[in-house]
Amino acid sequence: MDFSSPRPDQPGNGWSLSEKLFAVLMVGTVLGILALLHFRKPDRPAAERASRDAKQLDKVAAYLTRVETAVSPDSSGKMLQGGATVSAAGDAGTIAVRPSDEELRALQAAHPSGEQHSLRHPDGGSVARPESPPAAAATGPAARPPAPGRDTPLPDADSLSVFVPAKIGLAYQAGGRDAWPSWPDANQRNITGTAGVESLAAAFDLVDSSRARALTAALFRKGIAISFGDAADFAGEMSGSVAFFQSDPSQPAGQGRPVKPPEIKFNPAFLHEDPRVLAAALVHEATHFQQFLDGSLQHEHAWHSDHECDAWWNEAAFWDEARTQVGPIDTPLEQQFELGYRATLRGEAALKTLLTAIQ
Amino acid sequence: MRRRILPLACAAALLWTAVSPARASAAARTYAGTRPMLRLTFAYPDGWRLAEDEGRLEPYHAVRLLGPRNAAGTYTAYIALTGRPAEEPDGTPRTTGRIMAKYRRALPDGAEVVSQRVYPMAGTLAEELVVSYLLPPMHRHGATAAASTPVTTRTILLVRGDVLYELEQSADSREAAPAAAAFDQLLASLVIP
Repeated sequence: MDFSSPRPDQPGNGWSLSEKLFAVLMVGTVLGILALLHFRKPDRPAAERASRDAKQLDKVAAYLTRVETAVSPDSSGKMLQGGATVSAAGDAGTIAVRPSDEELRALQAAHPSGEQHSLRHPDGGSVARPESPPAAAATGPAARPPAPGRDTPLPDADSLSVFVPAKIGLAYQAGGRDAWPSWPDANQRNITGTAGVESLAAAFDLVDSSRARALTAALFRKGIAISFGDAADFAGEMSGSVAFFQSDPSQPAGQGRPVKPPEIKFNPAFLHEDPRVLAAALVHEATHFQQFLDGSLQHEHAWHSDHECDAWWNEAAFWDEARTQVGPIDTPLEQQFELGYRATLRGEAALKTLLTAIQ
Repeated sequence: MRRRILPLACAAALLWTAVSPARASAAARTYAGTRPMLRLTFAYPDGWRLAEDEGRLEPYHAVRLLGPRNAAGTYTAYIALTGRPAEEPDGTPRTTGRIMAKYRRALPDGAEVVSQRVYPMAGTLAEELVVSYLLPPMHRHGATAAASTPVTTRTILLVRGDVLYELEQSADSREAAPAAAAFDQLLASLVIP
């Protein structure tokens, strides 16, 4: 067989002009289709970005559903203040501590977008802050004496009754299931004593209107006494404490009701502290009550550091909400909460390291 | 026969000592981590208490060395080594630059940068930041003397393989020398696989 190329002058073997034109047209058409297909391909980086955005949205959604605390359904009356959603799950319900539609509508009405400006957030984001205090702040009871180290008077109790959620920040650490099923509910806000009752009530309401409301709901449900202690309560190694949660560690969880009712006492040295600051301390101690309630505090193998870490973490999560509404962070206690908050922004490891260093 | 068994037993015991998981021998003053994100080996001074930790809220493995308490009783010198994934859950790389920037944003107000540098370490580039700041009085249980404390903290970040390592040493600035020397000793002996 002859595989050599035909000579152009050989009749019948060469392409005519029309055949050549047809071939060029065909090649051009194929190239054109390929080019079209290429340019119609989805933009890969854009698709990846979209996928990543979708993952971020999923994470936010997961976060919103993760921030929840198991509560028994019969306490839901208190927990439902503000219209938070409750869903029954076996013998315990879950309360999502995200703002309800009702809360959001009320907040939008109180703070239209034009009234807000952004502050720099230590983590690089921005936090919304009302330009002026809520209208209720203009009226109300007379101002209390200024707190030590603070020039501005304390805000009125009315102005403290609701938080303006600045942003979705640190997630609260929720407790487990109630380990005291036989402990009857009291369903009362049990702020006792003679000193600082108003400040503690304001602090309680602040926590109750924050994303940490599951903590105050638990305190309400069991009627845990909250008061300012006296000097004897804060003698010795407790003298440096802002507050403490007291329970009987010898009684295992779940045996009827606590023989010695747990309580939270605040150091009278902080009697004149801003209720927002007292509220942060209340979140810390209420987290310990949450640990008592789910039995983890009494667990003999429980690592104390984890309890403290969770209490500091929740305190930081609350401070994340409160810090922009406190004003200048200048009192030692405010600076302490700010330090804990900033360590928490670096994560669990950094917070535990800080706690290790200062304990 | 017994003469041969004894050396063999000793050799086996030594071998077991070498390969047993995450052990820190005070006598040898060495640490050999076996946790996936903390396969480090280093030497540290006698007298420092060692504690391992694992993240509950986020993935990390850490080992902390606790040194002397300061004279004021407000701060314990420490060296903390933490290993965490070099990628965020969404796949974003945790570069030393990004993490250091996040760390700097989280520093207390008024913190002063003493020094910052980038240098080769363990076959990669490490980013180091030394800061000093005033720790406010920390009101806590057992704190009979709440007082401000000047603190100096040295932080080194490096990524090796799929792990971001954070090496940190901190102490009361007035009594920082022993902790700094301990950290230098640790870094000189540090082996990151």
